[in-house]
Amino acid sequence: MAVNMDDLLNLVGDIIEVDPSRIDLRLDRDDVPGWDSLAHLRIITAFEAQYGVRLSMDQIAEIRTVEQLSRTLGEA
Amino acid sequence: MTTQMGFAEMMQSLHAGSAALDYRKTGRLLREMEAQAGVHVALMGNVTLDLLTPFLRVEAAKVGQMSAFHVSPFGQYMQDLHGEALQRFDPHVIVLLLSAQAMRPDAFERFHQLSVEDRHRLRDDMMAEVEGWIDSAVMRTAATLIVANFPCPSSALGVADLSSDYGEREFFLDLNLALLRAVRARPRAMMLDVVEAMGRVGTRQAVDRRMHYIAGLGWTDAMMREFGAVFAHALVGALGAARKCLVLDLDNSLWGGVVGEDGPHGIRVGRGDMVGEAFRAFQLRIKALKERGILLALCSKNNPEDVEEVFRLRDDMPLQLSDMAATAIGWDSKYTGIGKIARQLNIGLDALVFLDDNAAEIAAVRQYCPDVHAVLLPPDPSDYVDILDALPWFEKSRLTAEDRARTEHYALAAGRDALCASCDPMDYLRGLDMRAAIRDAGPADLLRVHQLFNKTNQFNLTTGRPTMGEVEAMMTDPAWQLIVADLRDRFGQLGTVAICALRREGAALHIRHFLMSCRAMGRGLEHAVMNDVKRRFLESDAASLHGSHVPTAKNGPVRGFFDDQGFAAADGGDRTDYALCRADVAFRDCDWIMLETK
Repeated sequence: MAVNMDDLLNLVGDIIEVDPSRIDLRLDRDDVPGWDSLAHLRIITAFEAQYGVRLSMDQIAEIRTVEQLSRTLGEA
Repeated sequence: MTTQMGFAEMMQSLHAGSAALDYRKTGRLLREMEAQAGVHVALMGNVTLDLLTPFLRVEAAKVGQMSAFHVSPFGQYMQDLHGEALQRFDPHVIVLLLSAQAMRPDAFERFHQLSVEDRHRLRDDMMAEVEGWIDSAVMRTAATLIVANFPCPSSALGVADLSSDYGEREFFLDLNLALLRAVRARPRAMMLDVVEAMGRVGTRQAVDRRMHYIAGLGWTDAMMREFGAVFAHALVGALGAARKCLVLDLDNSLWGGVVGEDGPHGIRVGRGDMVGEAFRAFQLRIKALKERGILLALCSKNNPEDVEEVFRLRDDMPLQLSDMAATAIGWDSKYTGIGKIARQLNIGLDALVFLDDNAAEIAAVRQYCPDVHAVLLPPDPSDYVDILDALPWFEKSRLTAEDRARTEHYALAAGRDALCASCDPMDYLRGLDMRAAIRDAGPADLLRVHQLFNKTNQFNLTTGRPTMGEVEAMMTDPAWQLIVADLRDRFGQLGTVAICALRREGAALHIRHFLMSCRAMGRGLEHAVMNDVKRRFLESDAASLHGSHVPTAKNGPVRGFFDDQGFAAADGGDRTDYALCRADVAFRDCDWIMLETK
């Protein structure tokens, strides 16, 4: 499944309350302000709802960047 | 930043139940405004409560309650009651959400190896902990306590669990029953029915085991949203914030068809016809609201004679004209009719909920009477009951005798009005044959007093809204005297209708609260109560008696009240403070009310 990166950045930005244009696709979530463990869960559930997928616990834990999040759609 | 929606627009969107409502955006905007929040909510338990706050925040705002949150550290629901942080936060309500499995992990892992006696002990032990928490919270805070019950997990024994002696299913039914009874026995506690909420969502849609392992709360967004909704229902009850009257359209709302075209026998309501059955079920549900003390009213575009004929000829309908506290039937716009109903009942537009099947009428009411909560009925009458049940506006934490008799009170009021129209005001008051008991409030008055404090807008000098815990303190703290007045007349009981709370501070005696139900206004009862207050003042060693008037949009009727009672005013900005010294005390004549002792 192809994913529109802008849509994904908007989704993440909306949750962590950061301007999407300022989020680095490859930056580790520990280094992204606002992307704490609670926000991570909100990103995952919003992502699953928007794209109609369900990630495993391992996938959820291993996703550390927006880019990795987008790649799960290819795997799904 | 990302949020551009204004507050007014957001509240409108919440009010209209807009499907486009963006939960995250609204939650964020509300959080930014948390400093202005009127309601303090503490969350305690042994699950990850932080996940729930965004949902509780939005659902509380939907019932008009801007909330601030205090989340106790995971599992520290006992310790945090003693913490300074909670004292400073001063919660109005505390929600306790416990996972049974997290409370007693060892026992639940080997539940089926436990003896029946051990299972009984497990139940008693869990109940002792929860009851201990409630009692401790009652002592240490003034909050109303909202305690969640325990969903039953699927059993490892399959269907055999149901035939086992005190199996897991029976254990949870019994535990939740014990909890319900324990909560019911404590006036300041309420139960939050998580079991029922989970049933409504459906366990498969409500439980996400991944989230249990990852986050410590195995609920889906749908379940957290439903939890927020049941919390909002409980909050309306806890705060005494229920609306007072349900205004109903007639054609295609209470019956199928249009009376002007189909005639009284052509409309569909009653047994033997599927559509008629659905409308009948809806009428029964509405009629049950009267038991909660909700007034019913009709607002319909019809010829009044046609409507009267329907009620006369269709006495098989559950709802009858005698169930209605007010009616506005004619060809005026609905919002005009609704305004008339509010004036007739002497209540504000914000105390009304309006139901109609016509989208244009609903839109007009939302535009011209935005304080009214207007609900558009869905296309199919079989959905009406669910729509009514989902409304949080009629929730009460407990029902009082006054609730059960409310419509009757208004019917009696109509009889009194007829008497009033026929004679001179003084003759009218004497003709009522009023008897009042003015007395110190006792524990049995707690619910009614709390209810009166929270719903009285017009005859209310300071419009303070104490929590149930604060009301309890007024009854027990010797610095306070909490006075209530019960009134009856020749038409019947009006119940407890007035409250005065006095507080002694040094040489001064302060009237901190003085309020009277609108059903008792215009009878001079306030003079009888003030006479009692003045007598208490003279019998004490206080040097002066003080009162305040804090003007609000609604308490116009009490403007000048203390001036009229002989007090001297001092300018206080947004409030006026008054004082009366012993030498200036004068009693007011109100010999048309006979005082009784109880």
